[in-house]
Amino acid sequence: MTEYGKELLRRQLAELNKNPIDLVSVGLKDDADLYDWEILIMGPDGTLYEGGFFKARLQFPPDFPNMPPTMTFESDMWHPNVYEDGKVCISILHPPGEDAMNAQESADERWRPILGVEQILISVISMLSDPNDESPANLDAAVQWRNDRPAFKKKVRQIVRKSQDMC
Amino acid sequence: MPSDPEMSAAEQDQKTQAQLDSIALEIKAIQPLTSGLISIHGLQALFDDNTNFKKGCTYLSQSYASYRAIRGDGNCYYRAFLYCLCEKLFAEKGTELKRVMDYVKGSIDTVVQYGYDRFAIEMFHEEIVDLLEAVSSNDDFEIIHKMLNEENATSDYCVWYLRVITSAYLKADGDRFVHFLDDPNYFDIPTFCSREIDPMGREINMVGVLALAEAFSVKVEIEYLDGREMSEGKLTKHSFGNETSSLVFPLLYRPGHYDILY
Repeated sequence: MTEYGKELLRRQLAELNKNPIDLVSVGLKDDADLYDWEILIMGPDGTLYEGGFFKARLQFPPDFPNMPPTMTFESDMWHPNVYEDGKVCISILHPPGEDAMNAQESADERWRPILGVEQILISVISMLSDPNDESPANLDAAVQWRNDRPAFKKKVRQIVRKSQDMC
Repeated sequence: MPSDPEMSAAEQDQKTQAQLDSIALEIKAIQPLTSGLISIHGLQALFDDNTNFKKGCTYLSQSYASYRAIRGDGNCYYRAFLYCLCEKLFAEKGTELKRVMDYVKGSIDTVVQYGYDRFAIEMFHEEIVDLLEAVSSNDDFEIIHKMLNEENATSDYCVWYLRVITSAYLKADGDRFVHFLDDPNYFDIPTFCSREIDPMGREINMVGVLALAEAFSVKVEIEYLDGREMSEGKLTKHSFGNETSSLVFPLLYRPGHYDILY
């Protein structure tokens, strides 16, 4: 039933364009492919990422909405919950059900079909405001965030500046 | 699974997960979402002699002719409810069908008040409205039975929506339902809903059964084949929802599972 996922994405994209959420704009990478979104995220005011314009990609699997999309920053990112290749690691992007991998993460935080794309974007914004160093994706960033905040800030300022230059 | 000291915790976890996945696939391959009718005597064979389960089967075979097996994937209660709803409304095709249709159509305006995003759930809502319209317009229930057995389609989408209705109903009357939470892990309804009701594959419990039956104002009647001592040769039977409803859904409970009785 791929048509179903397609229709669901088409509607949510239209809605997000009509009533955008703060700090995020969405579009398609290629107009013919509803499963590949281009996202521009503005760093939230009052956070280290303030002033940044970060490009990211949201890629949906063929069995969406049974399974969640993956989100990858294309701009440089330095954050405990983002892998070095840009892949975002937050619970809402993890497949449903409880598995043995991560005991700390309960099923309520994970992806479920009744959540919309909007919820994912809101979670990403909240991740920027509030890094979670309990289950880090980028260990170096997490250690630095915890132990050497000035160095962490400096590194983030660099990627913010770089993101501004790219725009 | 025996643990192997040579294996790291992560490898062990991966192996466990792979095994769980393969069990889920196997269930999917051999169990239809909702089976055809099976003789009630078939249940007997599943249990050892001289157990309370076996005695319970004897009682069931005196009161019912057959049962319909629902896939054991953690969604069985919602799926059984959905199937009964369609089947009973198909047989009725009157004021109750109209009432339920009106309720379901209007329900999306209610559920969005409890934190669900309209654009994320409206397609699931349309799916259940379409299903009820198919119930109303078709003369052959076999068509509905087929719709409800298509993989990754109507049945799943409607189960998502029934979960949303259940959650919204619980949240609407949280002060009352919080006293029914029999799970020591939960102290409030919103957390309970987001962990136990909203996600697919989570089994329902008593408070969910009660909420869904009340939300639709139907009567759900459950025979408990749970191995407990029987009284007067009968299984424990409870009913939920609207006691006077003409829509009665007779279900069979076995530990961790629900099927439909006929």
